[in-house]
Amino acid sequence: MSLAEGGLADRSAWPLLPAERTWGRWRLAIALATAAAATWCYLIGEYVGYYLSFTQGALALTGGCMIGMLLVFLAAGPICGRYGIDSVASTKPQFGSGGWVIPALMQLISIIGWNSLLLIFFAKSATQLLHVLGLLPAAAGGRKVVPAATLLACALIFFSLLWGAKGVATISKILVAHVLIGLWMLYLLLSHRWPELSAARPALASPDRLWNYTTGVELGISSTLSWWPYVGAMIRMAPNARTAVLPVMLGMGAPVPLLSFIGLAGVLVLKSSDPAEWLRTVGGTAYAIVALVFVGAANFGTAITGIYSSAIGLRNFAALERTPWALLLLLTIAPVVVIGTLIPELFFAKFGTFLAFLAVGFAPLCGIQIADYFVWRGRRVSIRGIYDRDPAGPYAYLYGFNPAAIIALALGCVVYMALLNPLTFVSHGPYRFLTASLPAALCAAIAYVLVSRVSQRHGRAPPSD
Amino acid sequence: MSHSLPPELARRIEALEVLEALDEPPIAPDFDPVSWMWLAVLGLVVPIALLVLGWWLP
Repeated sequence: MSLAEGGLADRSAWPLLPAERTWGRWRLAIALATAAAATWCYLIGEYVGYYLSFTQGALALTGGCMIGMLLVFLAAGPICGRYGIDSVASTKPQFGSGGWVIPALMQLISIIGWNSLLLIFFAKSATQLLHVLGLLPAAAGGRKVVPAATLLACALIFFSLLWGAKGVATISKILVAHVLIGLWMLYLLLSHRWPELSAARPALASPDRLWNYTTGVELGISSTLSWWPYVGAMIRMAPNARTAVLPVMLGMGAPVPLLSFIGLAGVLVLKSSDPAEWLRTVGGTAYAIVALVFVGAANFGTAITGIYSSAIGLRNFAALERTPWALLLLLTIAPVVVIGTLIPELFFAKFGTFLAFLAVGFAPLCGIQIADYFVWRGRRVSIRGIYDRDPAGPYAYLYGFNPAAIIALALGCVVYMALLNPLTFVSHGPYRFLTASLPAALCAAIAYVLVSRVSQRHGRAPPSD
Repeated sequence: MSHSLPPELARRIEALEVLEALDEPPIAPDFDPVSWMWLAVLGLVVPIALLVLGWWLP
């Protein structure tokens, strides 16, 4: 029985055939919007609000997000859209038949981190909701309720995803409403507090106006770069890359800055990016309930997409190629359950450190993929080579690893950290004119092409396709 | 080389290679002029315009 006949095509990392790729523009846009719109938007807005006023922050963040989305889409989009494969599989031409584990690990760590954050946030919102509704005594703390709610959310996600991509699409259709509720929350804040908002000054703004503005743009770019795994996993369900252009650029690129405005406005006026806190101040208990339901729905929708993307990525490992879908889901959810039930508070406290390193890795990765596909290979890759594990295969390189990609990735990371320390946000050199993500991506792209050319001359790399 | 691939995966790859050899939709080319235009507008023109606007705001 073929995968298609069994209705299991979307549960493998194998390429999907055109007949199986049935998501149209709207379905894809809804799935992407649901994936992108989550609690992290508030955090992104909050960070921008530390450095920029509302209007400047909104414009810098939107511009940065759109540029970041372009990078991500040009990196993973053409190959994933062309052959119906996920983001990790699309890195095999660059990193090699063994080296793809590097981006696979980056994806795994990033998605586990994001999903842990989202589900802990979901559990906290559920706990607050129970408090507001009077179903949980005020004296009862979240120490036991949060882990229990995290566990329940993981169980719900597991059962939803037993349907595979069908489950993602179904949940997306229901939860997309939370994006509209989020915009309504933004309208409430703007209409009730506009004078304060327009006069509010960012708390941590540097005396250097250009540095503040560049940091707002950088936060937008780096935030969207970490959606690299999600883009591939979703657009492989669309017929081709052309169909995915508007859904990705608008469906994923637009809701993120829009919902980030909530966190931006919240931190500027009410010193809190969490609407569950300030909506009670603005509108009372009823609004707080709406906000908590919104936060829960937003996080749940995104976590579903994240777990799905991560499970598909694991399929690229030979040992997991034929693992039952249910077991693969359990393997993917298990780290989230462990973090969410055992160390939720510790993880929350340290999450900023983890988040800061995402852009360091994903910016060079995008640069390498763009250079490889558009410059080095002239927009041709071998779909057979992507799945060929033969030591003499087209992407075998040096023991399965492409030195050009590894050197370029390392160089890109060094360039990023030389320009901007992701932990302290202390910058150096031309950061204030260039951002850190864009030079890191560009340097990685140039290094990849140069090292590939040198390797080819020395006969240590196969010729470009 | 395809002998090492699982039969279903090999079938899929062969089907895609046949489609690709035609060099026409659904899988080729990756982007057409209209999609390039949208990418340029939404990924470069609009964000740069927004950034310029934001910079000149008081």
